Amino acid sequence: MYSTTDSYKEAVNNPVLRNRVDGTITLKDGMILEIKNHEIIPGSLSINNRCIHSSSFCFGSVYVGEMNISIMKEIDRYSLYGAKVELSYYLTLQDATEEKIPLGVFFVDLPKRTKRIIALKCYDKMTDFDIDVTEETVGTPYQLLTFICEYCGVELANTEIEIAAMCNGTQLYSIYADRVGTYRDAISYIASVLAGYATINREGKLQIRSFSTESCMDISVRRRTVSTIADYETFFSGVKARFVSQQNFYPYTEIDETIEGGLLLDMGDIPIVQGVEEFKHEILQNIFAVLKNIRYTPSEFSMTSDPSIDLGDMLTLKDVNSTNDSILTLVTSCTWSYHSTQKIKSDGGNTKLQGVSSSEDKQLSDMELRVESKKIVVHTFTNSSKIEVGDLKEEKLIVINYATVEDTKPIFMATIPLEMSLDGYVEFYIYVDGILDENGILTEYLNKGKHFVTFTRYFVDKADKRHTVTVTAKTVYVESDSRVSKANVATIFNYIAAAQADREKQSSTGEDTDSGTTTLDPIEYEVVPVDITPPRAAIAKNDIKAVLYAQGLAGTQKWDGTINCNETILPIGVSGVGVIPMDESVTAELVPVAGNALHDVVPPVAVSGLSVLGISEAITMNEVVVNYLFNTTKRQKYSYNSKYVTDDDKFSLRTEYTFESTEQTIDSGRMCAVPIDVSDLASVQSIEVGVE
Amino acid sequence: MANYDSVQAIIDAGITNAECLRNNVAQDDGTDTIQGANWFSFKGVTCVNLYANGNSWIGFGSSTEHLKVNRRDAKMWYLYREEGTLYNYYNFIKIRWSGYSRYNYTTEPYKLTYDVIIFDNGTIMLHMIDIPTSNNDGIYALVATSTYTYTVSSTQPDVTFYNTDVGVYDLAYEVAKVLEPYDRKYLIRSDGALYTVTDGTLAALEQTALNSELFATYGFDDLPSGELLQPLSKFDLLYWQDSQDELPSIKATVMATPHSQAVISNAVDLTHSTITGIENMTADCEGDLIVAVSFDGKQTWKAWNGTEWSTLSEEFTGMNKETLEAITFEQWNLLYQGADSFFIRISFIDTTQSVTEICADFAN
Repeated sequence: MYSTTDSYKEAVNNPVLRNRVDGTITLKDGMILEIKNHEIIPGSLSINNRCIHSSSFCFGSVYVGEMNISIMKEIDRYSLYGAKVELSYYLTLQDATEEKIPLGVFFVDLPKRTKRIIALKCYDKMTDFDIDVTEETVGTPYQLLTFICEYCGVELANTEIEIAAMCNGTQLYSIYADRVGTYRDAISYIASVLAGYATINREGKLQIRSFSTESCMDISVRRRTVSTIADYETFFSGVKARFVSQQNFYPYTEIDETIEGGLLLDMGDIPIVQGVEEFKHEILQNIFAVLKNIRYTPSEFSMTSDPSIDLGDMLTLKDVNSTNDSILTLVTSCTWSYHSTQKIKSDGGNTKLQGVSSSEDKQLSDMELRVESKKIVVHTFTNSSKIEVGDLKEEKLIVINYATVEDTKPIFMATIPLEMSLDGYVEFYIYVDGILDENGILTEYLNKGKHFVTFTRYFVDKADKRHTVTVTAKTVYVESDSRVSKANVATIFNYIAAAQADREKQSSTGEDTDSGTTTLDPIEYEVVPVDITPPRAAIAKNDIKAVLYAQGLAGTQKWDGTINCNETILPIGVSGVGVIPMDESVTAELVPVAGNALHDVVPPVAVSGLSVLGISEAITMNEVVVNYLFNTTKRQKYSYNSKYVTDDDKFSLRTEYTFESTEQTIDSGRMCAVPIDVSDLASVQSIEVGVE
Repeated sequence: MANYDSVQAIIDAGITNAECLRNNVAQDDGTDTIQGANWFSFKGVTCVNLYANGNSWIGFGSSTEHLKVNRRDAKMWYLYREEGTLYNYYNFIKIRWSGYSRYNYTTEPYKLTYDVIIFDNGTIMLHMIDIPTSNNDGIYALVATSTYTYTVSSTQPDVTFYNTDVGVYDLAYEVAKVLEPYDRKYLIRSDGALYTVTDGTLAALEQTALNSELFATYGFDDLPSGELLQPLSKFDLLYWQDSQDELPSIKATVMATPHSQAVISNAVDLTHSTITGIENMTADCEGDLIVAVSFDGKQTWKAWNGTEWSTLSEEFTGMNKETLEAITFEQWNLLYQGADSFFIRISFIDTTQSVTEICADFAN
């Protein structure tokens, strides 16, 4: 909370505030323009900022503060791009003096002019850190922050002593370009290990702040207008983060079993923490020590404006839900509006839903287990129906899908029994992902009859790839020696038959052959052509046996809904339980030698009066992702303009738009305005105005 | 004559400031005449007198059954009258009728007590105090130009009839809302200029500086109609009151059609080790589905045209439901090779379209 005097606190609680805002615009050429209170269009000035990224509590937020303002000023709007806007709020106190509250330093991103009014959309300096990390650096948080700030041209507000006093403030961390995207990411990671958040403060400097754990202000029910108070508290019983270990991210967890019903804060990957195991555990333990002190009730409310409230402040809401109860709530999001109400949001996870894991959590856990898995995974294939291979088109024989989880060389083997109708070639084509593999055509000449073909391949794959291996085949006619010989033999047979017929004919007509003159007619016979019928190959059902195997492949089994869990409970030491001496008798007799050991069975000994309180066990199971559902339950992850698209239970174009009144200042009486803007809509069917 | 600061205060005062006209004397089927007022008219008749009947009805200006409150064979035992002012401005008369819903019973289940308050703005309000649990079977109605029947209960004891025209009323189950007597004015601001409403049309003012005097001089009294506002595209409806009282909440509801919109999913992760492809997709939607997919981080959007994947050049185009659901595993396989994720884009170009769910089944 920005430090203010008691007079200010008294004045800001009055039902009527006398205040003003003024400031300056510094153009890029150094020219300074003043913004006077009367130049600010009523209702146009608002400042929005947050200190957590999503709707759940987290460390390491690096949110960009945003300021919107419309002023009535004659100025070239193009000169305003990148201009610095500094604003201050002045509250008139009881003694007619004024107290100043700086509102922040922002930079114009988008100036828009409408006649005499210029509307400015401005952001704070946090955007200046969106620069890719190129230099690798090692140092303490203060050294790293100093380096980043100098590199990005932003001042650091914290002193070395302040940073060193924070959680994990003196440890050494590493920023590597291949693990950290931008310097803003780097600041986020640093703020995470410091168990705080990063923001641009009212002077325009980067500041790492801790979340307050004690209330700094009471908000009476009179000051609140619209409020929603959660029926649960947000607090934590554990923290989880993934640090770099053996070139990969490995999960580290700290849990306090004595805190019942708390949430587990998943901080995700933090690549700046490296080193020995003890160091990583120490980092996480220190973060957890801070986290355990954070306990608040999520809420959302509007209140009379007070710009001294900062992000991360803990506020006490008095007399909530029409009772005398008070709750502590943490400011995680704040929208301050000049001459309007201030909207404060306190987001936090629901401890009543703590058992529900997000799909991302499940996938990460699954991936962690898979990375450790080195077992050989085997994919097999057999044909489920009879296949007839001809010469006209390729018939699909084998299809095997596989996915890799690490670099590997899968081995592919196939045996294909087939029966040829005629001799000829059989061509086998091996495709990977629909593309013919290099040397992927295998040709085999087969005689008529039964045969089998076996071939082997191996593939070189990178991690996290999915492939489909397909084998097709077709037959090719060839004028083989066999076919030619067969035709020739048939022709010779024809000739012999024709010659024999001709001789018999001559004998029967009795022609004189002693006259000295012999006349022989040519023997006519049929020449048999070579059979050019293309061969066909028949493959019986279930005859093809193909296999693809390797280490580093994803599993092949589809989950059938059955979960089998086995757990071996090791012996449990029970102290203080005495065993009454047991008597054993030994009888000596002559027995045949049957082995080199003697055995005696001691039957179970019942122990009465000993109870076991219970055994806790956790089960982790691998998830099979069977589908993805696009629906409104995931709307927060989707990109669309919710102003124009409804998302209650289905997506559709919004057809109803409401505009509500807000109070504005006037010299006497009271005034409110309903700003109605339909200029961005394609068509308007009706407008209805009502008083509630 | 007492003055009150709210209607609720009039109700809460009970019979404290009232004159007792009938005190524990039964009135069975007869009618008592009560002094009315020149400032109140009912169906165009000035109500010099009011009439209270033992069978639980009130007559305004004539001995006629106008307001029936469990009107049956009842009996009145007490009758009170109070005349006063509200906000030192409005006149009112309150009548307390007290008796039993059955003429020959005087036990608690039959007790019937109510106040009828008439205001000089024509409003009639009924406030029930004792609602009988026995013989509560009479008629509840206001007979004016039309007959307005109503019901009452312990959780809904107040009924107000707002006079909107001669003999015409709006019925509301609430304590009468009587606005405090100060100016309430409206102006419209658009493009820096101010407008008032004259003869049903917008008229621009020369003045541009807003102040209370401007409202008092040029402001108009009633909320503007939608037809009047519809030609404006960007404007402020301004309301001013000559009081520091809490401002009312004014809401404008616009029925409109936006320009075409797209909803783009988050990156659908395909890196999970159990996913080996997309088997098919199905859609639960109404109207025309327009869907496209991107496997290159939203750089290009693609649709299956029946023979191949084509790149879409226009923003709000894509496949229909039939095409999407007919895409086979092999056809999906052509597109997603090498991608770690993909995006789904649904386009909306008219208000008949809605999408409840798109399901992408993975091959495992």
